[in-house]
Amino acid sequence: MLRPRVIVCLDVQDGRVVKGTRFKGLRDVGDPVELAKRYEREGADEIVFLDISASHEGRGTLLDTVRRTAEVLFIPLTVGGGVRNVQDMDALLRAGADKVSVNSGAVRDPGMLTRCAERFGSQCVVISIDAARDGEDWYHYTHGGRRRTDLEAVSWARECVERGAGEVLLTSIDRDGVRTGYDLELTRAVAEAVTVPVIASGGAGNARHLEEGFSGGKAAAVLLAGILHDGLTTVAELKEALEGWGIPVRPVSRAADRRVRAAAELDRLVFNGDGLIPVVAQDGTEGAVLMVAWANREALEKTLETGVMHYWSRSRKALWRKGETSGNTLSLLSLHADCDGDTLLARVSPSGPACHTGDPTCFGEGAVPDMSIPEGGVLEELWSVLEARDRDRPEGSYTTRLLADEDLRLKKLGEEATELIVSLVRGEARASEEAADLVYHLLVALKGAGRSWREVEGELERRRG
Amino acid sequence: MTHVALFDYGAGNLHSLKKGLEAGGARVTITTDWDEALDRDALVLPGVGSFGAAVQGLGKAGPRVRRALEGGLPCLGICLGMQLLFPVSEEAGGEGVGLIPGRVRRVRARTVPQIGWNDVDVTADPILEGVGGELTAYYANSFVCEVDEALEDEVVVARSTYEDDTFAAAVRMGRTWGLQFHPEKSSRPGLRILANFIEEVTR
Repeated sequence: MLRPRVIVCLDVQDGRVVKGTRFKGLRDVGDPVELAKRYEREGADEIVFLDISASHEGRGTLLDTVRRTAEVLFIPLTVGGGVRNVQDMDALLRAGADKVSVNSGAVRDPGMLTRCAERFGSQCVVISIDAARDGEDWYHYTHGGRRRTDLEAVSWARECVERGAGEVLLTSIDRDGVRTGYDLELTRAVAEAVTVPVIASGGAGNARHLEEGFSGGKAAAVLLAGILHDGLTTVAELKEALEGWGIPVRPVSRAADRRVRAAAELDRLVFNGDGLIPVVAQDGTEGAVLMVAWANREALEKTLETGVMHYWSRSRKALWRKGETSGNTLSLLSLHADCDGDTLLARVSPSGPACHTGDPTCFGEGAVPDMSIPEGGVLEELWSVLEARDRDRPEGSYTTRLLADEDLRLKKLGEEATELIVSLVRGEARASEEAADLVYHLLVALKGAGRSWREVEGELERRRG
Repeated sequence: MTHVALFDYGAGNLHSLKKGLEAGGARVTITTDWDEALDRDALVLPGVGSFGAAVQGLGKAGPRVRRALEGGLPCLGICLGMQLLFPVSEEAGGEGVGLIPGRVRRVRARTVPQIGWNDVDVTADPILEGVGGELTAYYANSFVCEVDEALEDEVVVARSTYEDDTFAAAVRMGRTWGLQFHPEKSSRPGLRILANFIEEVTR
């Protein structure tokens, strides 16, 4: 079954993502490469870059941005804006776009659609139609919605498809940026008139609007931008809501949850010919690898049931509880299968030395990780932790919450600054703690805005010079 | 390190596929030269452009490519690259590599091209394993491959259904695989498939 798509649009100008409505009030919201990647992680089915740079330099920057994005993005990327001919399309496809959308170029020279389709295949030729209602009909606009044409939108869509366009990106100018929902009448009229997929765009304010785009608008895909960039919601949240209403969107592919919580989940594991599976025990707080031993199904059931590690002894051919003679038990914190399901990782809390020699680990002192601060300093390390949080977005993490909520993030930044000032005025000893809080929130704010710590370092270095 | 030749017919995005194969542990050279393409550890035929353009890119090399694949050179054809493994296509004239008996026909559906994520029903194949449960992959195609009936059950290792048309999502013949969908555009599961292919090459 073909899944209804949720597409995220990024307006790109001179290598940065800007937002607002498409036609006024632009503001910088981040690096297109980072944002595209983030939306892929959130579960976006596709990314659209709409280039709104007017200048020649902006064009070169766009190709570079597309190139850098294609190297890290593994979902389809559509790029549009200022495409006038086969050469423009070729340049964008070569840079790394999977599809290219055309607007004014096709109005000026409708034959270019045919030439592009013959050369690259119609599946990568997208006709972008910006339509506004006028009486009973809708008319197509060019130049970012500023110039009205005499092309009636539905018949223009039909003509473009006949000429070779393989998809219609349909934006309602009336609804764009207003967040009151897609123009369903327009969307349905075009979807019923053409035999290629139609993407509804302009007006998405919440998950229900997306659902209406699919059901009422008959769209194959819905496109949204503002509500995501504003941090009002996430693609994952929207998809969850859509699923709940029976729209069969592609499930968000999370880092696979391989945690084994209950005996029933042991069925997923691959035991060897002797019915055994190796279990690596790791100190859950220190990170040190403690020991490796074999378990059979029964030992794992016992482990899950009692919360302390049980194994199978190959020499004695018997079930044993770690620590039954030494007293040095391992309490289970969590159990995880590896990607193939043929090895287990047990995160544990040891009550004493894990090794029978009396050493903390069977692998000697070298197995205990060095927790000292790396060369780059503590800020560098904190930044790398933030990058990992941004990538993985672990549930329950305060950083994850801040990264997902721009308002909260910036409010906290202001609060922490105030608290530091108050603390300094009062001459409190804990001023250093307040300063640490401020630095943490400062870095999170930079991260959340798609900026990098390197930029700040670079700026400081520049000033020093 | 496995060295893969990625053939460039002269149109379209090869960056994501190159990076995807590299993430799977390969060294990748993009080339327009068949001598070089057939001289590496494996050949990848990418999925961009039209059948006509790809046949032009193939030029007179068709029989040589076929001999190399029959001789055991591992090959992965993606979308159009998969279609090129067949002798003929309804899309345009000219001859493909012709390794797999059958033909390339237009998708039987109201809405064509098929664009988007579709479920893939995997029979069994090492390169489609470990994708974490159900596979949903990205398609962008107007044409699909039809394997000759006598070989269909053996060669077709995965199927997808679009509207009412069920077609080959993946084929395998010897050390040659064809994928109608785009693994390099199918996020995490797609990258796993590319890594699996590289692993099969080294086997």
